[in-house]
Amino acid sequence: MKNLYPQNEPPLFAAFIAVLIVAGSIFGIDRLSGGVVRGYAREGGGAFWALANGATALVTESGALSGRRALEEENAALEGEIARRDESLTRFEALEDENAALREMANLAANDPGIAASVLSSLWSSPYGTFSIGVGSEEGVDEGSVVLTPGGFVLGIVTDVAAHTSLVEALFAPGNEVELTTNDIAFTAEGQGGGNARARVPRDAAVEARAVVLVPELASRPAGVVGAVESASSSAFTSVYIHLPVNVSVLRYVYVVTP
Amino acid sequence: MWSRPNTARVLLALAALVSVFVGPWWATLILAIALTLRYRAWEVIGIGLLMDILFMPFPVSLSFGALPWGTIIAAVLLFGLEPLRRQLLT
Repeated sequence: MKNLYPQNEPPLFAAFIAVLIVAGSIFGIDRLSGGVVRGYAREGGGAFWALANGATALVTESGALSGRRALEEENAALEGEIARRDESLTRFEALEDENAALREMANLAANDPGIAASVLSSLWSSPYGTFSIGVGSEEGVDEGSVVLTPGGFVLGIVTDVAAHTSLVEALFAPGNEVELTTNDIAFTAEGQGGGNARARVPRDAAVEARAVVLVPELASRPAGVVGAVESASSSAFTSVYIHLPVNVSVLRYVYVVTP
Repeated sequence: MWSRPNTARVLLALAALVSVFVGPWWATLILAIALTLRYRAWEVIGIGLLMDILFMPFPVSLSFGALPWGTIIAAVLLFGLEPLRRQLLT
């Protein structure tokens, strides 16, 4: 059998020390400089994400990823003048969706001063429950700024700001503990990622499905909706499952409340 | 001193790199495992480092909650799978 094991690699221990020194230096410089390395990386990443999002939108709207049969039907329907009209209609609908999202944010702006921001990186890309948005310190965003969904639910908090991008940590990031209230019942929920959280409340607490949960420390803004309440007869506690009423993985715009 | 990179390794590494930006984090993990199972793939460290720098919401410190897990997992894969690679490839 052919020997595929590399023969001329550097000694493993020396390589390990080299990796340790390089990684330690990068993280050390980042820490001493107050996050400058991460800031530059995210600015660069922001340009890549904007490019990737544009390409994805183009491919999605053109229908290139539809099934073969759907494409054949679409091809037949898109002949001649009808094709151009359909294309215009699709474009109009996309713009209408975007307009509706921005209009919702304009309603938010009436109550809270802030800025609409495009979502650059998806929440599912990050193992830390974070995502990047396309506004930064130049646009008035600061660390601690609250990020809302177009409907006004708390999505997360800005934890790191660069010139034109910011990193947002989701309120329901995996392992994040959040103080919440619903129907005047206070409890601690643990984030599960993807806009979901789980909590345990005393069995006799009146928590109902579809009730809105609030975050007292963020001016009692809504943070999610109770999706399900489960209680075993042998347990003194009830499990409460909370979720955001929007699909966070497809959010294109968010609203950042500026201080 | 360095072995010549082959097409499969380059493609896997590129896929992992793109996955850091646009794919789910577990896809990057799977690609990193695939890379390190077959190759002593130093680029996996860079991919883990990039993931941490892009998404970590805190500066690195020695407390458990502020560790760069992307880089640590990449190092564990690269160095931890060495005995398995040695067994499989020789």
